[in-house]
Amino acid sequence: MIRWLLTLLLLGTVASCAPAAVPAAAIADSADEIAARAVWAPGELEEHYRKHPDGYRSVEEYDRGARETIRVGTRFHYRDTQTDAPRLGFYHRETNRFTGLTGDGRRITTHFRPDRGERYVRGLPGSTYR
Amino acid sequence: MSTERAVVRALLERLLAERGLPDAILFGTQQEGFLLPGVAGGPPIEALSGFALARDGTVYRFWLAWDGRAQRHVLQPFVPLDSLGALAEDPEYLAARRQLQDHL
Repeated sequence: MIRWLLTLLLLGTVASCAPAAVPAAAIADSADEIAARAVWAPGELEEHYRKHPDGYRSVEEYDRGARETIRVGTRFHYRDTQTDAPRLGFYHRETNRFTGLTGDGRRITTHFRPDRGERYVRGLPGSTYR
Repeated sequence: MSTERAVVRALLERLLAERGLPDAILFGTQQEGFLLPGVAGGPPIEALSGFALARDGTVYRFWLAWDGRAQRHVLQPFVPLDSLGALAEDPEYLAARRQLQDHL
């Protein structure tokens, strides 16, 4: 009985320490598929372009830049600072561009050129960028 | 909870309360890579975008920003969504809905 209770306790501890599961779609889908399919929430593309123009000349060019970063960048995972929600990231070192998406890769959450380059993406919570 | 995370969370809660939404649920937040002045003379904090789900079900999109004229943090823009679009099936939105229902 005690052994059984200890096993249950151990299993519970392991489960509560496990990192948030990354949705399978984000693991299985190719970068090309994610770049083609991902969407922005209403109003977010325009607002992100306004806040981070980063040399892009139009909203359309900014959106293309976000998707190109997905296609050519290094894929990694990180967590949102406030909610701990899983995030999928792509960083292209040569052009210093970063695109963030929800953990399932279906919604683009941001796109910008980090001031601190690689150090920024490496320092994101739970970042797997190497 | 890290210090910056706790400071930003308290700031967001205060700014949401000022807009009459003290119990709104945050979801879909994202660090935005540039720094804003700190809170009460503290270290700088990172700008952030995200969404707030109000008790009546309205979703607001917002950015945590700095109003240089007023010398204070603000939620700007702070816009109610007419249509949820891609958010309707978003797991983080659905989780926020469940959290809201648990609180009601």
